[in-house]
Amino acid sequence: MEMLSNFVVPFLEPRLLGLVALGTFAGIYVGAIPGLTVTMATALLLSLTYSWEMLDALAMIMGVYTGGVYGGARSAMLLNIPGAPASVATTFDGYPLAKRGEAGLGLGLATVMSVTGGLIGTMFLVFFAPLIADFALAFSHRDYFLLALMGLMLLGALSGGSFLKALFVAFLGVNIGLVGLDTITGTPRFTYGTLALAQGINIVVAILGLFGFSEVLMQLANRRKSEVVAQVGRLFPPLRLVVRLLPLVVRTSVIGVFVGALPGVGGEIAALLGYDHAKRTVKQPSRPFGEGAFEGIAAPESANNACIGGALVPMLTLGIPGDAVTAVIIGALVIHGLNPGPTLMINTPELFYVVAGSVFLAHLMLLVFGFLGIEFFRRLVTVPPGYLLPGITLLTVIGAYAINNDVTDVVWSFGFGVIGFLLRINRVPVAPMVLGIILGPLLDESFRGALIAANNDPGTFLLGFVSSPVSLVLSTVILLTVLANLGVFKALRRTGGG
Amino acid sequence: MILRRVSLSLLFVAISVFLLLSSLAIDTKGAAFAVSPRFVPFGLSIVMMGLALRALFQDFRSPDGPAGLDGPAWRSILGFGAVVAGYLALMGTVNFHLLTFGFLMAAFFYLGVRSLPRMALVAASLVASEYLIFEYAFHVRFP
Amino acid sequence: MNDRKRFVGWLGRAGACLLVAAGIGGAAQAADYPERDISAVIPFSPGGGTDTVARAIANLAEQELGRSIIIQNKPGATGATATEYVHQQPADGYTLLMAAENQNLYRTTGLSQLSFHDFEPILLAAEAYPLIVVQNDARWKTISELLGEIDKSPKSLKVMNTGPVGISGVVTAMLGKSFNLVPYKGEGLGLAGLLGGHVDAAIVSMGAARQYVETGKLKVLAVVANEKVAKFPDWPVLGKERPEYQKYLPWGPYYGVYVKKGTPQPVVAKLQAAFKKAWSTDKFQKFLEANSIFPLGLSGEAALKYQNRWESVTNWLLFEVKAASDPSAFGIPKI
Repeated sequence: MEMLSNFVVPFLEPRLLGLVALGTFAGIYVGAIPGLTVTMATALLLSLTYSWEMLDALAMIMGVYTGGVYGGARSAMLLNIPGAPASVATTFDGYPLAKRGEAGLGLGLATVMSVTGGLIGTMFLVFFAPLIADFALAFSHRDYFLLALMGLMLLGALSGGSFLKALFVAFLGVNIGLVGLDTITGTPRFTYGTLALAQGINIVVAILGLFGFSEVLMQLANRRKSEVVAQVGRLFPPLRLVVRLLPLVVRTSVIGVFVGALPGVGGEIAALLGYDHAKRTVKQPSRPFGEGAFEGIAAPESANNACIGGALVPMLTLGIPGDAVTAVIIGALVIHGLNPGPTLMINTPELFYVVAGSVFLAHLMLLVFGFLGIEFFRRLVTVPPGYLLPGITLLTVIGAYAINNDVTDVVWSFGFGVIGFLLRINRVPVAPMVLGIILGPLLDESFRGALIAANNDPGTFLLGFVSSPVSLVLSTVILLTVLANLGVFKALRRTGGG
Repeated sequence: MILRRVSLSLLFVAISVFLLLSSLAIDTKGAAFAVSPRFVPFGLSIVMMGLALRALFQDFRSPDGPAGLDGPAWRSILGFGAVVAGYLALMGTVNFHLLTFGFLMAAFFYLGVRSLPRMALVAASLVASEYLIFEYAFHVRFP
Repeated sequence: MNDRKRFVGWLGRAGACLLVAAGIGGAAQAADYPERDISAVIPFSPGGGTDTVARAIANLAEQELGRSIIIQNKPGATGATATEYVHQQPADGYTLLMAAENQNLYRTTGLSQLSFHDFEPILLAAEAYPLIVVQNDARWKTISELLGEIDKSPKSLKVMNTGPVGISGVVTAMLGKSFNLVPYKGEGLGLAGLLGGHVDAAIVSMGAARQYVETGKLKVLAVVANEKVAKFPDWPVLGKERPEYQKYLPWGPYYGVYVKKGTPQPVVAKLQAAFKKAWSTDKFQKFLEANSIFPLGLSGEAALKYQNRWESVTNWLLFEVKAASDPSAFGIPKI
């Protein structure tokens, strides 16, 4: 009972209610602007709220977190530029949908599904936090490696024309993700003796180039052919559609919660796995995947918002961050003199429920603000290219610069833009490269970590895949998926080369 | 014609050779081969070379390549690229907000917008929002 | 006549002004400093140890300085990027480097030619002590039992490692045993590895592990220090259990505030005063205590002495395990 009363505190306290609302509203716009990340916004709040009451600061941060994760979907759908890595999967079907003149419906659907996913995630946080924490702790390097492999299997879905080239591009992405100092030995890789490369290539910079600037170049190339999308369509998704998607969304939300709870992986991988799951399990999508399927929007959007509840589990129960944003929130707790860890739940139980309550509330706010903002946002698709293309270019420039206050990053994002353009005019998709950059470090570190943990002994290493329950389950899932898709893979290879 | 058809896969072959050489230069710090920092990049670049060669072979035999771009499309891209390159090159020498305003005006004009007051209004409001959001709220210090 | 007088007077004043500008220009500059907001560069991502300490002290110091301290995170290459960046800025006291100990290791690990010798310490705020922890029901009762077991069968024990130059890398180098070092991407992830039973032991900072010990999930085999920690008298210390390690101790990561070398002395003095005052506030001391970080409060000669010792001990230790190149090539003496 006491727990419940703490949970509703943010609903009843006008000050907290206002802060959550303000945070959610601001978060949507921070998330929608590529280059401004939720991590940056939370870090900024950390300084601003230094002299505030702890709960006030947390309420606002939770709002920004929720709004920010959702906001990324907007630029992903309307401009084909994911506002954050967690929205990469949303571009796959979101942008084609907007191109069909149904941008309004896409945004409306994303809002409803984000809210659904987020609420499911919060429920898991409230009722199963200790269980989920145990699950997260059971994950070893070997299991992270298997998770990365599962992510790579999405390639089959993204390959477009040529599977060969898509695979090549994805592996190139993995190598790009490995540029910089190796986290295990500190050895520089692909740095050619420069410090600029030693700091690695930021994923957001790569995304801004590969999606943003390459899109500008593509539109320039097709300028005489392309016509402006004049209509944005209806806004509210019909109830029947929502009900039909609900079973899928529940499943992808659960995926989101558990991936979010794993320390070190976050929304970007949750959304990709959610998309992959939708693609594999939905046999008759509303439209083919990649051409504006509603399933392809509902799955990643619910997964990445469900991820919030998951990421808060290790943070609140163990004091271990589930992703980059929760790392900053831990910093906020530390600065306010609360040492986050297992005693946080014992010494300050109200904190847990107020945080959970704020996230829940923020998602309800999202439902309101989400629909309010759409009117304005969806008009972006109707902006004539003469204004839109310079605008996107500017967004790429300042977004890339803002990540690290570094002009080198701007140059990089343009380099990626040219690469993306060259690939796209040759009908090779850019998404596999982003997938590679996201999964590359995870793949490399977890594989080597698992082998080191097995004392470099291949026998022990392989045995682990069947002797550990988590690994056994994950390997079985992968094996079954590969077997089920063998026919598909063959067909793809036959048509490879276009 | 053949060269156009295989240009991308030729580029892929070149990239994989370059990556292979670069990965051989990675210091292993005495770690065993499979756990060394070299292992994944090295292994992948070998696989990539195989993929690239196979793609080259396929592209060589396939009758129709990608459509390609015509002259005006290339001109339009190179022109816009030049405007952007100018913007990047001048970064750090002129006041960033003025430079951005100038870039936007030039880019709008290049893309065929001719209404000067509207151009100035849109450019000014973009610069203003850039200033308010990035510089004022997020403390980003532009060059 | 009157005009002439005025002219002479004007000349005199102008001369005086010139004198002021030339002779005691530094003082005038310091009197005005800070005329605008100061930027503080944190070489790591938001949320980490360096970040939280830096934010906590910067927030208090800006109240002393009367100007805002704008925080910028510039992570990458274990802080070398930020270090190079601050070094490229003018030495005017308007760009602070909120660093940790890593600059001591850039030269021998080949990351950068810069080291803390290129910067002026404003304040070394605090240091952390490493803990050697195992699961509560582990078979080792003392650190000697653990070290004895690894002596008998090398490579048999898995120890969480956050990188060759991190806390665990340096302490395992100090212990000089052949552990199987299992890599983790940070203290938090590594602790999760230990809690999940994927490694046998972890070496982490006290603040990160303390709560797990207090809640009975982990137990402390040793605090890596020579003397008992007053707050935790039950925890054994490495220097007492195994005296052969005393020469390396105390050793731990530390947090400090720096400006580029060549910053006018009055500006440095002003910053030192402001940060020292921020450091001594109740609020900051309580923050340190809550997170089990130990106050240092060193500046000037004392700070340099502390850093020189740290640089020497750590670089030579890492050189022994081949994680760094020969420190004598950079004039780092062995003490």
